[in-house]
Amino acid sequence: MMRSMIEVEVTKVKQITDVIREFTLSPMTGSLPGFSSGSHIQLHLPTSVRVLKKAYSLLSDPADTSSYRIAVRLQEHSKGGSRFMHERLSEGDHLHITPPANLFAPNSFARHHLMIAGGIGITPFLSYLAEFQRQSKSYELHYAYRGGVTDAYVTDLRQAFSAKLHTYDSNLEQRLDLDQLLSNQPVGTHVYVCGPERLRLAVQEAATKNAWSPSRIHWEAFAGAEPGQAFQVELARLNKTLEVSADESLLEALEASGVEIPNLCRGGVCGQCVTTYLEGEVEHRDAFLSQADQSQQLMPCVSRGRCGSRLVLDL
Amino acid sequence: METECQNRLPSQPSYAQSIPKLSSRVLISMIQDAEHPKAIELLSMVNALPVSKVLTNIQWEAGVIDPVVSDALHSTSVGSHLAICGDERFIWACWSVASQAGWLNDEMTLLKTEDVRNLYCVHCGHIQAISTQTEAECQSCQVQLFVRDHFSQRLGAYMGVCLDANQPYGGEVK
Repeated sequence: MMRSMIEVEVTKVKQITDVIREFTLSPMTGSLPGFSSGSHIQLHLPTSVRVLKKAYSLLSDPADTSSYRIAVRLQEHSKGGSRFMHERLSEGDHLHITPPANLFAPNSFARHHLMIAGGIGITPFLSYLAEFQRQSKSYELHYAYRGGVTDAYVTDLRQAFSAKLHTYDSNLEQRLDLDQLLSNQPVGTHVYVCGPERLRLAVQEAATKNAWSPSRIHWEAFAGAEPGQAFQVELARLNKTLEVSADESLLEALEASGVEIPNLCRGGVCGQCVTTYLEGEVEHRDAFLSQADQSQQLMPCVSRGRCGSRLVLDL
Repeated sequence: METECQNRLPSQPSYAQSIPKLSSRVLISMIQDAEHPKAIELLSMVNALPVSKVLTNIQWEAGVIDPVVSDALHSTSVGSHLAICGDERFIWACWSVASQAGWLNDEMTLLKTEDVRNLYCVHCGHIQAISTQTEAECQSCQVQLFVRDHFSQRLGAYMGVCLDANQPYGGEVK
């Protein structure tokens, strides 16, 4: 069953850096559903081509349900989502969002929380910080960015959390030494990464080198689906054929044709949209399915049929 | 192997047959009886690691672990490995302290030496030591207990439930 949508009004738009904008979303009446640190919502964006569905982390304090705040970075190769948010969305506009879901919650047994953010990947940690402060948890935040471009909220963070904040500005050649950082964390530490894929890979590499258990490493998928080549897909049970264009995901194409598939992250990590396929070659781009499962299943939010191959879904 | 796993209760603990190859630089070993062959095997490999700390003569029976041991478990860094070698009662007493210190199951190797284990009477809450038997009398309430494979990590004990529904109380039927 699809989750019921909530209508909200954009009550505030704030430019945070040259490429990052913050949006405050307020309920039409009453308050919004409660959420936990690390939660995200999906925004349904009515672009001129189609309704785009984009997941964004909530950065506001989970104790405050009078509004939600999100921050969006304008992506150079935007498929329309971040461009729409930056150029079209303004105060007073109405939008539909899903209730919050959480795929990136802090571990409640951790004795120390180590947060590593890259650029706009700071957003989920802003909601972590509010909760950690309230619960007097032990934590530290390492924030890497490009000064003046992706250094969202750095001034506020310095004021509020200076002792626990470590910043790395690539313009000033300040480097985050992950190997050093992960070699000396007290037992009971959990590490959380949000940022570009290369940051996550670097943390995982440093963690493996320092013999960290994989269960101590948590990360949030950052970007949505990357574009690819156009392909055709057949829906065996519905007896339908769809064209998936280069700049849309298979999930978006299915939704556009009226096929609803449960989904949460739209980034290849949560496993909600897993779909069985019967034939065809798949370009798997998810970080959820095992190699064995990928021989029969795919995640349409990120994965695509190979160009020229006939992809048949069990739908 | 798979069939064996399918028949096991998810809560039933499993123990390592030997010490796995470790990528950790630090190994802490908690040993009940240093003379046992498994302890000897463990001790023979600890020197291969850059940092090793061996803890023996641990006072654990009273449910309070030596502060020196507790400090050793708290003061290490992530990426260390813990080996606990002893009977099941010893293992789970140590496991409890390690878990509180923040250790995860996949950072611990549990090496069982003897068949001494704890039985928890679900009727009166008493915990007593037993061996491999599947039936026992509760030392506190005298109910005849069936020893289930169901294991509580928190209590470090197997669950004992009334063996005979027609004999739900301990002692002679009056």
